[in-house]
Amino acid sequence: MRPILLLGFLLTGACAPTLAGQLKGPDGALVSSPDARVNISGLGGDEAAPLVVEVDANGKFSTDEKLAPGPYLVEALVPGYAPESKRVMLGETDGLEIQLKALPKTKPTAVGARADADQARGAGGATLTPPTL
Amino acid sequence: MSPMPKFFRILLLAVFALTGGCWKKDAQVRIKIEAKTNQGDPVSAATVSLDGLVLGKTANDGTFSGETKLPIGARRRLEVKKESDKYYFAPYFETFSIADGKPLDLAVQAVLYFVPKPGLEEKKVEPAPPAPAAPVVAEEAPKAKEEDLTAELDKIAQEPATEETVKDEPVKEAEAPKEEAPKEEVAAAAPTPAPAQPGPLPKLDLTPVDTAIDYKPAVYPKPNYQNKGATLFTVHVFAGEQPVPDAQVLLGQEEEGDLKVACVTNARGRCVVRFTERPAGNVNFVAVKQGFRTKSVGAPVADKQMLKIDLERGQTVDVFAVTRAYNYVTGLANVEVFVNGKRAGVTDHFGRYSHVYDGKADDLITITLKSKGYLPETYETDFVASGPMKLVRPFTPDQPPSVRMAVLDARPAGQIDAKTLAALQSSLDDEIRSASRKHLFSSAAFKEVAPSLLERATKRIGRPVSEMLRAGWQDTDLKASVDALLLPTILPGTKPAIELSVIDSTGRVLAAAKEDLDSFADKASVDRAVAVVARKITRAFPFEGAVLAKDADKVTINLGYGAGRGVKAGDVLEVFGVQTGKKGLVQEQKNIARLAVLEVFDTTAKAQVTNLMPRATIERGDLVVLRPRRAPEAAGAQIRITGNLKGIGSDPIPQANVYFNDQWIGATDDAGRLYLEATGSGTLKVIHHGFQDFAKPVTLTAQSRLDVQIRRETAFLRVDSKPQGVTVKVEGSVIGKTPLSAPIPVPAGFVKIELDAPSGFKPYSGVLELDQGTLDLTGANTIQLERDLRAVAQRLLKEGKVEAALGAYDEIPKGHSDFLLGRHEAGEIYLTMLDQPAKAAEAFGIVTADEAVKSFADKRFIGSHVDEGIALFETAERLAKDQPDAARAHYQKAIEVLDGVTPHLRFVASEQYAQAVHNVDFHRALAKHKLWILSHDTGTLAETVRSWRTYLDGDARSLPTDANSKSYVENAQVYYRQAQASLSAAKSDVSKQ
Repeated sequence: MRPILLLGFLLTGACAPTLAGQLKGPDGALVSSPDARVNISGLGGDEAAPLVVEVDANGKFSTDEKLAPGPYLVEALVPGYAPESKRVMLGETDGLEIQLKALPKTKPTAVGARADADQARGAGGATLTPPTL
Repeated sequence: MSPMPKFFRILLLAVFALTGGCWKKDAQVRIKIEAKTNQGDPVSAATVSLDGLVLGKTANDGTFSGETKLPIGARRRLEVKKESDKYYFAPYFETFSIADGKPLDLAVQAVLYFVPKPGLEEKKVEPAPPAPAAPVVAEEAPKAKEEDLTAELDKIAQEPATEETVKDEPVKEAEAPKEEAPKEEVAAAAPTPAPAQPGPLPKLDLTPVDTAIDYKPAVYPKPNYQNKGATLFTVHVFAGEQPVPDAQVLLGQEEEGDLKVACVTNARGRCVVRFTERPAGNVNFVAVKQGFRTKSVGAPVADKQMLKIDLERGQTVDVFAVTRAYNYVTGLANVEVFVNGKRAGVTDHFGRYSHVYDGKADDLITITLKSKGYLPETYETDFVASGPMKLVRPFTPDQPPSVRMAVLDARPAGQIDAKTLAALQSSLDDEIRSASRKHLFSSAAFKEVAPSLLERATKRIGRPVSEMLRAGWQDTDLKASVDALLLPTILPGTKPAIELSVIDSTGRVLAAAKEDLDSFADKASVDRAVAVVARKITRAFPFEGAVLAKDADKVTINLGYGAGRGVKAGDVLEVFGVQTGKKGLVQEQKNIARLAVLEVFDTTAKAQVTNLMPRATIERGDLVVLRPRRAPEAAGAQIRITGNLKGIGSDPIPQANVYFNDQWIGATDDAGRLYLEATGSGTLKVIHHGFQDFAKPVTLTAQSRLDVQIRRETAFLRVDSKPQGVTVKVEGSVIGKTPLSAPIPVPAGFVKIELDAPSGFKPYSGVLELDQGTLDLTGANTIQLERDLRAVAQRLLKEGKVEAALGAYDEIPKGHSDFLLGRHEAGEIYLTMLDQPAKAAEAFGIVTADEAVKSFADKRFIGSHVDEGIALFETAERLAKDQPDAARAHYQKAIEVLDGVTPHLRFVASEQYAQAVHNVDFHRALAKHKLWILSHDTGTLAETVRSWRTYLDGDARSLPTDANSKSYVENAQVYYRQAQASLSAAKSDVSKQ
């Protein structure tokens, strides 16, 4: 009976739990950046493709899709912070928190112009055409 | 909805109530779009897509309407994108989600911001892009006028307006070819006059990788078999009864250890191989033909005999492991070959292993090679099975190879009677050989080649020793066993002497030593001469070794002070790295970097990488070659030319042209010297611009040492300057203070003139070409000294007065020789100190808009292009939050600027080279990354991943180790992981659909 199967599927598979957590900076500071991503990859089966989720203004993240129970690797990828990862069992992840270490702020380094290159002097050491006799 | 039984509906309703949002349902969505530029003009032919799926294109009036079904709940992304050759259009996007199953009407006004693409304004009329979904509509370029545009842009981005237009083509760069360094033999033995460079200013090539060592790519099997000789041998290649035409027959001889292409079969499947003498033992013949399995047969060779090779249809992967020592390539035996992880076999004596391939075409094959005693220990590659599959891979010995040197019999210079000679040689040759063993062959750097072996090899190549000494033997089979020759020459006479020279395989004299002899049985003098030549040769031989390890920008090599190689700190080596050839499988060794030795140990040394070619990486096993530490000495006559160059004394005159009997025989080197090959009597002439011609009848012998003094011509100069009272120097000598209204005698020719600067002015220097007569630099030609505003600005900056410094930079007028430098330096202040990237971009933009800078001809400002790219990127970062569309245009322009400068980075000062490559690759990757985040476009994402990989694989490793650089690299890791994971997620989404 197809409808019954459908019912069973909807009750179990489709509504499996999501994986959620929060990123914390040094001293419990809030970590939020529009460029922050959390990378979630299954460690149990053969699901090769990881799930990439965004992080909200409070540093919280959650998967839209429901995930199958099992072990996952949660990798916090926030520019300005060193990458950090945690292994979790789905279902036991209440209050998953990832502590991040801030990287020193990057500062652009300019490449200088070469004032030393003397334009008037040419390539130097060039052999001139010998005068014909 | 399709009718369904009632109880099902109830059931569904119940399920829906139970599961909440888990149920998916479609809703009808009607989309209406009106695409406009930020100036209000309609945008035609813009692509409309939903979650990356193209729905269609906008019509001529910029409108689009369409209908689609979408599931409830998930966030959707609508995008309007316009591609154009002339402008960047920032794509417009809108996200929405569908709350319920009701039909949804979506009316969107899409405003596309646009900027002109740099440098392309007048390039071409753009063609209408093909529209897959809608019929092709003629496209109207935005009607915006340039003024309006720039005004608009200033408002949204404070970006510099580039007003210049490009002529038809970007100016081609006149640069020295990278790969083909001048050949040493040509430069040393027979210099040909280089034509004077045409054009106003020679281009500055500031970091040339000019190698003294001529390494051609190793082509293997070698194509240079000289199919000559009296012994004829025929090879018949057949497949069953059928002759196989156009099959390559390779020839391998035990003693040489290499494979050469001997001949190609004719229509009857035959080809003839000739030998100068009948080879002893078996000769290896390999038949190669596409569509057949490569087969090897060993057979004895005799005149007019034949060999039949029977080929089977099929396919083989032909693997050739090779190694080269002192420019001679041989096959490398006993290299284990693994195909797709399984051990398949080992290479034979000639480095060949042919693997029968019976898989499908277009399958991916992984080949792993494992060598013993050679570097790298393991090499792996993969390629798609198709066409002829030939993999050539060089390996470098893990112990540096010895230089194989043969000691020739002593020969007399000039006339000597046969009896005396015989008496001399017998005792002298023994003395020389035993002294060589003591001084040369006692170290691992040199190895003696037995005289009998040399004799046999020279006989086989059929070239007399005298010919070899003159022209070398690089191209002959003798190179398989001899790298250098030690030639003793007896100089008879009242005061006899012995001269020893070491000659390499290109015929160059690498070192020479001369000692007077008390008698021809004078053991001590012979010993001394050999000791001197041994010491000299250690400084002059291009020893070869390998890279053992690499750590950031330092490498460890397997050459050290010991083992007779005498590497010293400051020595320079060239690195030949393996670069995959265009066809993918053939690996070529190319000169990719230069090393400067920092620290020396007994058998290893640590060196700094100095000139790494862009995109190249140094790996374990790369070949390194020590640059000879002084110019090789040539045999024969030597002439030294001196003259009064600077107004006093006698200096060596470089670049003086020397003629013998009215034939140009060369120009002097930096030390004023020229080594001559010519001998005999005739007229020697020396001609140098600005000097009086010199001519004298001379008789040249190999021992001639001529010192020639040439006299300078005199010219006259009048100089005035504004302001006056300035000291004038010509060729470094003071000639007076301006105004110099009476003509002052100065040397003629090309002379350097320098004017000291009064306080606040810039010193002047220039090169004048002076003929006889007077050059008048007064009146209309008065030298105008420029105010040194840049120095003012730099002083203010040093004092911490940043704003004042910027003010001083702003005062440098256009046309001042420091104008561009000033703009660049102001840009640096805005970018690195004041955090005002838009201002910085404007300043750098002025520099890069200069005609010579834009065409990359002015190598001083390559850095300005790099900095402009970064400034544009940083500007985009500031705009990203509130003006994503403007930000997007800036990211795109940054990428364009960085792409443009990439091929020219090698002109950046070497100490900033790594930084420049980092700046370009990091910001290009991050700009692409940001564009991807803004657009969610999978194509952009794939490019982003590639760019990050380029950055992390290449330049990140050669960066300095300060905290800022480290932070950049760690951030790059974060971004790379994001992009990489998103790409694999996107790929799996596609495959699920």
